[in-house]
Parts: sequence; C-alpha cells; structure tokens
Amino acid sequence: MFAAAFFVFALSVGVGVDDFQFDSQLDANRYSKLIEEFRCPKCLNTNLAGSDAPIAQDLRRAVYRLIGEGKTDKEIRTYMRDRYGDFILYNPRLTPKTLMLWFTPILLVLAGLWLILRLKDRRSSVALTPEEIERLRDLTS
Amino acid sequence: MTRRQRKILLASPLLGFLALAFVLTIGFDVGRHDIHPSSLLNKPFPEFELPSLHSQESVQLSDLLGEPRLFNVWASWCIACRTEHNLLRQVAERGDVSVIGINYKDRRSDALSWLFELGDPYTLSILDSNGDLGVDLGVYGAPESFLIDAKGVIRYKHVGPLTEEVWANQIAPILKTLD
Repeated sequence: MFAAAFFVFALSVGVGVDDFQFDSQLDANRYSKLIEEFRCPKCLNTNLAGSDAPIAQDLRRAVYRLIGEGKTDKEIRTYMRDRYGDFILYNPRLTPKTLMLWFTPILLVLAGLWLILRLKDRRSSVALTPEEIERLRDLTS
Repeated sequence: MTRRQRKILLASPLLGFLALAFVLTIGFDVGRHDIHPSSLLNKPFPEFELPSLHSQESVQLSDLLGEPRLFNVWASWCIACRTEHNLLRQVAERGDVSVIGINYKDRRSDALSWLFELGDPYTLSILDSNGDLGVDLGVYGAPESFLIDAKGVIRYKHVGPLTEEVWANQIAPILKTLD
C-alpha cells in the first residue's frame, strides 16, 4: 500500500534535468543521452550537453519537446540530421563518405599486425652473411 | 633484412604521418564546405503559429501560401543583416517576391526601432523570440533566407547575407520558374 502510494507520488512529481521536467526517469535518461550525442552546430567540438551557446540551449529544448511528443530516439536523430546535417552527429552513420572514417583504424591495426608478424619471422631465422660468419669465427677462436 | 628494406622501415613513420596529414587536410576542407548542408531543400516549410511583429496577431504558414515567398531570418542584433538590408528593400520596391521576415531571438521593441531606422522591406515579420522556428528550419544564426513556392516547398536556402550576385545567379532564375 505504501509502496503503491510512493510509486504514484514518484510518478506525479516527475524527473527534472536541466530546467526540464520529464514524465519518467526513462525519458530523462534518454534526454541526457541524446544531448551527449549531438554536436553543437556552432561550436566546432562541443556537444549539446556541454555548450552554453544559445543555439545549443535551443536544441536542448527541441530534444525535450520531441521526447514530450513521444518521438523515438531514432526519429529525434533523423530530425536533427535533416536540419543540421551529419555534422551534428558525434556518432557518424556508415555511408560511402564515412567508409574511410570507420575502416581506417581497422586497416591500420591489420597493417600493424602484419608488420609485427613479418619482423618476428625475420628475427627467428637470421641468416649470417659470409663476413659475419668470418667475424664470428675470429671472435670465438 | 636488406638495407633497402631497413630504409623503408625507418621511413615508414614519416610516410605514415604524411599520409595522415594529407587525409586530414582534405577531410577538414570537405568538412568546411559541408558545414551548412542544404538541409530541408525540396521539403515543406515547417508549420508554425507565431505572432506578427507589428500587430502581434497570430500568423500561420497556411495564411502565407498561394504565392512564392522569401522567408528572411533577421534580428536587430545581427550585424550582417544590415549588409543585406538594402538589397531586400530593392527587392520589395521592385516587387520581385513577397519577403516575410522571421525576427529571430530579438526583443520586439528593438526589432521595431531597427525597421523604423532602416526601412521595412517585409510584407510582414513574425516573432520567433525563443528560436523554436529557427531550430525547425535548421537555422545556425541570422541572416538566413528560404525561398518557398506557392505550395510551401523550400526551393532555395541561403546562409549568410544575400548579395546582388546570389540574387541574380541563384534566386532570380528559380523565381522565374515559379511564376
């Protein structure tokens, strides 16, 4: 009974983040996650959560409004991308233009592994040159 | 390992660095051109219901459809808006197209005195005091301009002050096709 009363109380109070009141903890968490994810369009490298720029405030308000309208995270991402382009996404989509961005690190790791294996191979089978054999014989005799 | 191979191996960090520098230089340049994407082009202008600057009566998008319109995002605090203001006045005098002002994140009194001082080229201006319509339009800041056709579809978007050149080469040709 108390638990039920507390539950109703918790629901009616809502959850506050920034200056906004959310209906549920879930929505509040979605808000916090989304504003971490979007880049402030006017600041070259700050997300919406970390910027005091007026446009970042406007966009945070827009995220809040869209959550209130019952939009999914995916719909909110699309809304932002339609208006501010890929620039606003810190987590870029996989498109022909971003192929290099996604796969260069993997290629670099593979190239590194290949290099390491190759060098190791060489090291385990060192062949001495005739001069070196000569010198070794001198030193050990 | 031959000398040749050792040389290549020694040079590889430098080569790698140069390759990375090359890629990043290109990347930054591409990014710069892409910073204002032609978003919302050929999509409907977003719905709104906002007060007009002068009468403070509520204006909706549907009130403005039926002929091409040029929406111009402006503010009294916006320095660059002054540079395009003459052009907008000429456009209004010639009657090329009806220009609708979107007074963006401004104080009403400041906006009114700005127009009083510099002249008012706008058929009407609407008040977007908190910038919500701006977000819906993907506006970065003032000035920005959106040309819509009679049905309300965005046919051209310009970021920054309008110039004679932009007008003659970009907007006028599109306007001709809309008549």
